[in-house]
Amino acid sequence: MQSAAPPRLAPWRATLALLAFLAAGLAVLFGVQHAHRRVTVDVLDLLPSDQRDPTIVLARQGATGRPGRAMFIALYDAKNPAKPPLAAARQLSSDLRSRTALFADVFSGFDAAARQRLTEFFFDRRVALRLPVWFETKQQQWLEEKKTGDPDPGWLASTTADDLRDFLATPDAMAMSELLPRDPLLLLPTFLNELADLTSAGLSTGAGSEDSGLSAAGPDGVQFALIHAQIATSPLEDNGQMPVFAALEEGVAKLWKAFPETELKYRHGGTNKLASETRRNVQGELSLLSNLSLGSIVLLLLMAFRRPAVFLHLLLPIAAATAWGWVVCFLFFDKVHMLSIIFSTILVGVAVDYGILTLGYGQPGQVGLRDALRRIRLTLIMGCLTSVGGFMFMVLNELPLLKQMGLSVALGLILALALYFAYLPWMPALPIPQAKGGDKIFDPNRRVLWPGLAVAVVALAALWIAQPRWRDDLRTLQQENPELMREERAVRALFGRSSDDTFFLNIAPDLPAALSKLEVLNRQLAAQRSGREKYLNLARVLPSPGQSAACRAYFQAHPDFADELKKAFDEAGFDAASFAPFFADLDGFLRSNQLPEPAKLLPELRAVLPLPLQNLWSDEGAVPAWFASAVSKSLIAKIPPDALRAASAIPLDQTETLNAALARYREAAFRLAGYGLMALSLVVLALYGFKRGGFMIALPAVSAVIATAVLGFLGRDLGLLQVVGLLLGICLSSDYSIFLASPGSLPRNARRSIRLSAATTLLSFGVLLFSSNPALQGLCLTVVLVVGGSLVFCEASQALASRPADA
Amino acid sequence: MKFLHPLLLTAVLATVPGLRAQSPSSAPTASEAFPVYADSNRVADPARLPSALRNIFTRLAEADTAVIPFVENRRMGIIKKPVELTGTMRYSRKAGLSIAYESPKPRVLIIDDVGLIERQPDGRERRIASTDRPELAVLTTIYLNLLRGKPAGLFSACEVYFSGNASGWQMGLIPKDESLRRHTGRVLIGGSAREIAQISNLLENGDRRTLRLSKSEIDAKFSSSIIQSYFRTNAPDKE
Repeated sequence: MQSAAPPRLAPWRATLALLAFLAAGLAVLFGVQHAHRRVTVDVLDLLPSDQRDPTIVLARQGATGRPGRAMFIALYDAKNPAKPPLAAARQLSSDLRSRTALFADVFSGFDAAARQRLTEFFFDRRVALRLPVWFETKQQQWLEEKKTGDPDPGWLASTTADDLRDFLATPDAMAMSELLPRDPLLLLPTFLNELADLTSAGLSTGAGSEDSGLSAAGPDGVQFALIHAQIATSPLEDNGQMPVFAALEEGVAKLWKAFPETELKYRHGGTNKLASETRRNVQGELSLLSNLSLGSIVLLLLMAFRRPAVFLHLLLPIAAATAWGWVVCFLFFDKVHMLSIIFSTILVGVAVDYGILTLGYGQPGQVGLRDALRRIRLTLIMGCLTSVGGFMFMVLNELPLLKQMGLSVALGLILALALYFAYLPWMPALPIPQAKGGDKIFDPNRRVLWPGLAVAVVALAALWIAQPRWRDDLRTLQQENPELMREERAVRALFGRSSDDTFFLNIAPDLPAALSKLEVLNRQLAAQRSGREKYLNLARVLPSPGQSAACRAYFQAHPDFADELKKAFDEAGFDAASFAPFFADLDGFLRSNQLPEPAKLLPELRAVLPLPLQNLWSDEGAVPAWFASAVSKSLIAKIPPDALRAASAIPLDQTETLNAALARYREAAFRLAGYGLMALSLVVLALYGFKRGGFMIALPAVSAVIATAVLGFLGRDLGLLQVVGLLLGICLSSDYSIFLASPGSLPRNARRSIRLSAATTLLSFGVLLFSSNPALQGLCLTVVLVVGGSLVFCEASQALASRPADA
Repeated sequence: MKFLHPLLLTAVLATVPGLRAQSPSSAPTASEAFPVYADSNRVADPARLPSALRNIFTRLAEADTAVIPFVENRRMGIIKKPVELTGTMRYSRKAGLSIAYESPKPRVLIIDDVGLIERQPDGRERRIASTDRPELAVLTTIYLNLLRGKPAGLFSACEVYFSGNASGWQMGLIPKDESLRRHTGRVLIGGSAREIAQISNLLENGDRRTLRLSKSEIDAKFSSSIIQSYFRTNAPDKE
């Protein structure tokens, strides 16, 4: 039967128009991606960017904010490894510091001017900044002596005089003698003690290296000169990686000329190095595997149709749909993850089913593709809708990976089908081998129903026995290179990160509030500390608003303190009159009502502190705000969980917390996809009736149950990506069951389409099983199991349905 | 505020000798109070040492180790009576100088070629590498060259004055480094033969410190536990 209406557009013109549409899509896509580098491989980009989940916001801040921008450079002389090349490190620091586009700051140790600035900053503010800290220490001492209420001014004065007396017997006393008349409370010497702790080997709580972290010895005795650097851009961006590494290499090359007697080499670490290596590995491996995957699909289809022209007509609409689908996606997403691109490209490739099925109904010279499309329009639309429905619901999930995949696949499938509908009618029926088999319409009769029910029961029982474990692990999403991680840990150990300490964050909506939380934590730490245990954070040098207010209130309530102190000094053998400068400063402080404002002080402090200490608190205006503490593991273990909660203290390594967040997203994805599939199932039942519709729904569902049970038996954790895999598998398999069970569908055409489609899917996802990324492997295995199972069920159903009734 | 230098520098300075205990209120100039600082006593060239001074360096160089009990007096403008500290110095040609204060509070200062360590009784340490602090490098140079009997290194770091003879001598040192001079003032060492009897310093504000050294035990054997307690455990093996 030939179509009555002749084509109004020549086939070559239609092909040309589609080619132009594809070219335009590719050009826009290339322009958008190339201009903004919007394809990412960073695992954090798989997490939502909104501000509602503080865990994720903190993880982002940690990776791309101040802590993430830290870079550690360790320079050594291979010719003379016993001596750290400090002069070379200073020169390299100066060189890197001059490259302001790449490096925000570089620190290789205090120079005289920087040290002067810092001590002057605190000397000028010693009463305002140090008196509250001093007062709180005294208050604790008072309470430890089993006394209650505020310290008695007489007691406070006499212990102060005792402290000064003790100090005079310390090694520091003589060099501080000029200062003591202005600082008999020892506000500056105690600050210098705190600072010495904080700057000793960066943030180490261990034995640390010598002094300011400029040099450290490696385990093999090699002496390194150390440089802390802060890169100017995010370590996950291009500018934070290759140009930075190139500048470093160039800087060291200059050193070879400046220090010809040495053989200078360097090691470096930091988030940018890890991110760069991950990007390289992921891009390399995934590009290879996805190309192999797509290549294998192409080869399979070429072999099936044996004519490149046929293949071209099938491919063009899909390629154009994919390109424009991604163009639209880039309008919605600032960054798109590589995983999303690969999966959705493969999945959209599966839309070739629609073309294959359509071609099967055309017969050269008899039935044109326009008529073929008209005949199976509902089958195609329903097949597409079941897939699109599941993916569209994924858009409602907050996880970027699911959003991106959902939107791109849904758009790609709809566009692909729309283009088939728009393009194929202008084509003559293409000469493809006719599918073998009879024309009897598939009927999911009792011969199919009863074995199907038995399989479903067995599948559910297997699932119950397998007891699959639902668990997410962020680490499986990352492709860690063990050698690289070892090097990273070794470099960081040189900078004082010992295995004995752990990092904690005190979080709050703003910096002053976070500082108050830190004060709570410090009180606990100070009370529990013993032996060599340490805790390092900013509150040891900067008072919280609460400390300042309490201090001022005390001195205002006890104006007799000054007289008591003079008396105590006199009794302890001091010349009280020699402290007149101090008493004038104290009087000035008490007369002033101004409290130190952390919001104003912190930026000023950041400007004078050495680089590693600048990273001890979040950027101004960042939400949530945080202060970081390095605490000995044995010390933090003594703090009760309730006390940690009261101080809003959370460990910096939040992998487990993030895993919990991922689990929440997994459940949401499961729920949303479930709603979507249920809604579509109802539509399918309404359209095709209980028997056919039930078959269309049951086949992919039973496959998914069996796949889940198999994963459970294999001992694999079922995480977010497995849920995605199940969804993908169900969406693909539902096409098969709809193609097979649609009343207007010829089984031989449906069978060929299903076999080809399943083969391409198994091949493409099977290739991705060779990925070294465990999460990717898990996802692909899930898809392979669901699709493989569905293929088997389709074949078995046809075989059972076609058996004679008396067989 | 150049006098505000962090921290352990001051610990080193505390060990640097001062002048004889005198009332700070009298505050005579150094050369008035201590004739050794007279221009005529200046020794400018380490290659042309007075024979008595050369002998002292030679004898000092002969000692591999020494143990010297001491009493330290500190006189400062803010106190009416001096503060007294006692302790024991231990010197090792290889491991450097250890100053163990015993009263009123125990603590150990270690000065060696790497830098300085202040060690608390509970084992906590504060360290400064001399490579990080030029002024500290000068100080270790002065100390270790003096004790090792190496005049060249000493002359590179300070002006040297000398008077007396083998039976009784005084050596005056004025650090060339301005920052160090501010902290240590002028250094005066007195003794006989290779015995150092007194080390003092006078700060510019009139504060002063004096260490009176008892008779030393030369070439004492240091057990491993002594080395562990009073020196850097991974001390460099150099002179």
